[in-house]
Amino acid sequence: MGLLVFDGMVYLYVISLFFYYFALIRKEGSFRRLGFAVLALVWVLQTAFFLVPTFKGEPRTILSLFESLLFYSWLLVGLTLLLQRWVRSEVFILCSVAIGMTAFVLALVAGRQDAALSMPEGLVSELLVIHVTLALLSYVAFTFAFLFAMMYLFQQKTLKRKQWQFRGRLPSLEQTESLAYVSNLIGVPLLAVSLLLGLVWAHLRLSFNFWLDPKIVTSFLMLTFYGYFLILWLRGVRGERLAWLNVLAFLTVCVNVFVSMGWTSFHRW
Amino acid sequence: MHIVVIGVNHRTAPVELRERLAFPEPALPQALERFRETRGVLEGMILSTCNRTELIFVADHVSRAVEHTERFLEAWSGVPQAEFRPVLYVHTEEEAVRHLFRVACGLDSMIVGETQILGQLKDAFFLARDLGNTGSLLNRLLQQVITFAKRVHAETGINDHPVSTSYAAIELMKQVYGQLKGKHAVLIGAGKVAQLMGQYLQDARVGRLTIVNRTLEKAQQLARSVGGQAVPLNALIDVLKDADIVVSATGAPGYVLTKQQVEPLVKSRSRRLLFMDMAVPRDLDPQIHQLPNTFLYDIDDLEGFVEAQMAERLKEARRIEGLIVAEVEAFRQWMHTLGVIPLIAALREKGQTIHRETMESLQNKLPHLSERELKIIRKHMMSVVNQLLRDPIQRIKELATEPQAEQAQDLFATLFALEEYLLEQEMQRPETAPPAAPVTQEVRSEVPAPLPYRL
Repeated sequence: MGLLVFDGMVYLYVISLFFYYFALIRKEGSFRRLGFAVLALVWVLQTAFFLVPTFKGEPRTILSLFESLLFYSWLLVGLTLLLQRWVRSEVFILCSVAIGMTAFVLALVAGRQDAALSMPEGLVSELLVIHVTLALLSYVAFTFAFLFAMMYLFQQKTLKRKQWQFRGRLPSLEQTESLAYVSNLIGVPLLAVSLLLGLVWAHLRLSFNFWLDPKIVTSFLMLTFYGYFLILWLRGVRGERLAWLNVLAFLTVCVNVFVSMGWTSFHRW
Repeated sequence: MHIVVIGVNHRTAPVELRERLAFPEPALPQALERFRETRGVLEGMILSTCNRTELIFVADHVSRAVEHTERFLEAWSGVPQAEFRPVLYVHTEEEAVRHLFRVACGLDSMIVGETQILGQLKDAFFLARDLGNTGSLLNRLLQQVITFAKRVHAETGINDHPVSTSYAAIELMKQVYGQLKGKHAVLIGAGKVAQLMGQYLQDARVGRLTIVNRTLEKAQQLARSVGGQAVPLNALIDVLKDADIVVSATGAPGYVLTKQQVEPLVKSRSRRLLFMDMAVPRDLDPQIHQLPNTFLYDIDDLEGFVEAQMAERLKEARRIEGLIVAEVEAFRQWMHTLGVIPLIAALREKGQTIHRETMESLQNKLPHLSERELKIIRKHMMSVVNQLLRDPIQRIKELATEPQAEQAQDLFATLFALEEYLLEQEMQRPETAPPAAPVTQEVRSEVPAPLPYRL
């Protein structure tokens, strides 16, 4: 039954993508509203996945790959629904929903292998749960920053090449740049605190040298890139250079996620 | 009853004729009063703009009403019929309805998709309605037309696309900066184009506007009119240091700014810089566009932008034409249901009369029935009447939208012998539009509640 619900959610994701795509092509408000309604339904179902066990006294810990990816997808979808009020670009919504759907599908794939990767009881603590939650929140913020940076680069290219045929509605260059900055401004402290908590937890619970663990190294790399972005912004740097830095920084996020799947010594996913 | 639209517009008549046929706004109430008295016109309104003059009315007999309306137009404007008849268009029935939808959506305008016409149509309708010139037909039609046009403007992109180079320039500025509030715009030149752009920038609420011109006096004059400040041409480079937008529209034979002059400026700052070259020959070196964080658009680019936008508008217009077909059909179906309302009312009246008479007869023959027994019998007899009438009423409603609706309605009236009841309804109905004499009492008509009618 549970699998049917999850499969159903994948179809709903696809349907919402379909509606948003048609809203982009046909510029009809009705398609956009339908897409919103279907996506909202997906979000409600995902919320139920997290809330129902909580009411039963067995809250989700978000410590397995399955729950983490699902949590990431839930955050991404929820914030996309919220942001639609201000960012009315169908391109942004499409890409955000596509990423959310990808994470959701990966979660489903990972869910079937979850039993082998369950966290030992002795290592679980509230500190760890907060660490993972904050890390995922920062990933969502960086995802938005990446999307805004890509929109900036695309808009910049069309304006530089004087191409007037693009049908999609994009925010102005300045707006996308500001939105990317705000997203990073939110993501960086979240990541920093998450790293700090993670290091405290590791110091308390682990008996080996964890500083050279690939996951930790790439996490610091992420923090460095995004920190550098903020420093450049404060110095008044704007434009293409900053957008490309944002894209590069997001690559470190992807590397960080994939590293934890295979090369980490103690991050079980 | 028939819907008719007659008129002239920018396509059919030259401006010299249109301006003579136009109805000045202060004279509209009087014109509407006289139009109401025109023979054959049951309901009417006048739409008069710089690009069209149209008389929209409901007539009992089309050709007679058109003839009288043309006489009214001749009498009012003083233009002989022989002069305006060749350029006058006459739309009737569905074509008239379709025309109104197209006009309201801006599809019949000089600039396709413009929204001003909707406001003008609304004003014309509300004035006519408030003066009692409209009735259920025009009220319903215009309500549907206005609602549809509003929806179209809100949901499609037809009026999103600028159609002049000046608007295109502002649109491109917004694509780079979003809102122009707080931005510093520099205007090079003080001629007509510079004045126009200065006005647009002021309307766009740009934060600061600096006018740069070889002749300082002219720059100061322009600055005063657009709320900016003026500087001489030799201060241009200094002013550009903190500019966001530069609009150049001088009559200079060569470049006012070259890439070599702008490059050090761009390197020393990290903010974007947008140049608009509105001059022919060009004022700004095209190579400026290649600098980082810098954009330069000349007149050709702006015209290309406008062309692309017009193509989008036309695509949207074609889509809206498709939507209009459904709206016209919906209105046509509503009009056909108008005919069945009196029939259904007459049938129900007859059913209730039969019920009442039967109950009276029953009470005479069985006087000892208790109140409770009478109530039960009354209720069950009414139920028999309602059940018998339900199917015929449903069928006649369905037939109202069929091509043979009128014949079906006549047969219905004959089969159920409703002539007497229909005549009674006719006699009870208040008088509608007078043939010649002015109306002595004000007819106030609210826009009716949406149909279908409740029985």
